[in-house]
Amino acid sequence: MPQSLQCPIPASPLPVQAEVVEDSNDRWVTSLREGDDRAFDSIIATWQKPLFAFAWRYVQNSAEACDLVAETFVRLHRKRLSLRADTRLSAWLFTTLANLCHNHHRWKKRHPTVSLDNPGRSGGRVETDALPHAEEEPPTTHMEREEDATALKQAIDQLPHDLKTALLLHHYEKLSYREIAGVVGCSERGVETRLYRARQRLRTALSGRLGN
Amino acid sequence: METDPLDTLLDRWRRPPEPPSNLGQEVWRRIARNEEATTGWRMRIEALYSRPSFVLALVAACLATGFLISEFRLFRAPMENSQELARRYRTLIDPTFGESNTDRTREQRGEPLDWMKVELQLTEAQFERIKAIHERSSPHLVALAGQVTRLRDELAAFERERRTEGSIDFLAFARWADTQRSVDRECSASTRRLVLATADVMNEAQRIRYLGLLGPLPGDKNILH
Repeated sequence: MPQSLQCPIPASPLPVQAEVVEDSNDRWVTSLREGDDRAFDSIIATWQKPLFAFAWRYVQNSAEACDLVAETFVRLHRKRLSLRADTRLSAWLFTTLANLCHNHHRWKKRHPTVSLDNPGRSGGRVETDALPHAEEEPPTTHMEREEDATALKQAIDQLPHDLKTALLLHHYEKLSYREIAGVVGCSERGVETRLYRARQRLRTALSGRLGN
Repeated sequence: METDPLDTLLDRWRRPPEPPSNLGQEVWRRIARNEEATTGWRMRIEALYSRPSFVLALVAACLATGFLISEFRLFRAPMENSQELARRYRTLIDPTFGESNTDRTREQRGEPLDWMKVELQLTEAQFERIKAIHERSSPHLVALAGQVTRLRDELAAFERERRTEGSIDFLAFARWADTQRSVDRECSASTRRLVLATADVMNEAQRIRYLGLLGPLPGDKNILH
């Protein structure tokens, strides 16, 4: 997998304006079906941040997340002429990306590697902690936060694909149950169940840290 | 309202990095690379088809394949026809052959031996002798076929009784099995007699072809020699 993209600077994600996206969806789909490349550029500009954020949390590696997001857009471009008129772009993009992340995750499990940056961890999975912390906090508190972050990432990484996808889309991307149901291919009730199970598993895995 | 400690922990992991500024360019670069690869294949195929020698060779190969397929079908059709005729003939001379005797009844109304004349290239004299042998055997074979049919009906009745009442009259079934064995023996013997008598009329090549078409006879591993 190419690792040529650079993703260095941590920053706050800009949330996608739901109303704007909702209004633009049909126009974008129509333009895509007509082969309009400017519409495709607009879609990249609008969706790259939420998609990247999801992929980054899923694979916990910036370069790999960039690669997967780029591949998602390439697939959208390849399928643009055969899209149905009622396609929901958000669901299409997140579904494709989630599947790519899942395949990538399985591939990494079958082909473990050792990162040069983090030799202690297989696969170079977890990068420098991205949890916010105050500069003035004492070193012990900072260390505890680092440990909490590592434990949380590991616990999320251990979740099965369906539970992980539902949790990441709901908690971090703020998608509704209906939107998540469209992505993972189940009912809204099914999403609720998956979120409950994901949280139960996280509680079990992080039981020693949640009391603090 | 108290906040769930799990939500607090999850909320701490809120800051993903910014996606790369050149992500759009990277996407377009990959799209261009894919299109080049697709176009490359298409151009190669087009170049291949633009060569007259390749087109001629392709047409010749298609024609040759078509010719071989038609030849194969022409070769197979008479062979399958002969096997079907032999199967019907076997039904005629062997009362135990096949599932029912409906074919036998139908064959007896037509001219069941005509195929042998053509297939085995029999002379007129041979054909007349074979016809006479079959006519002599016919009443006995018809009687045996009637017995076989009756025994099959009785077996079906036993099976119905077993299913509906859960048991059958063992002595009656033992008598049926005994009769079945003797009828089977008689069928095998009469079929064998008829086939051997018919084969005796033929020359060696005709005999081999005749016995080959009939396949193995009941209770007989090899009657060619």
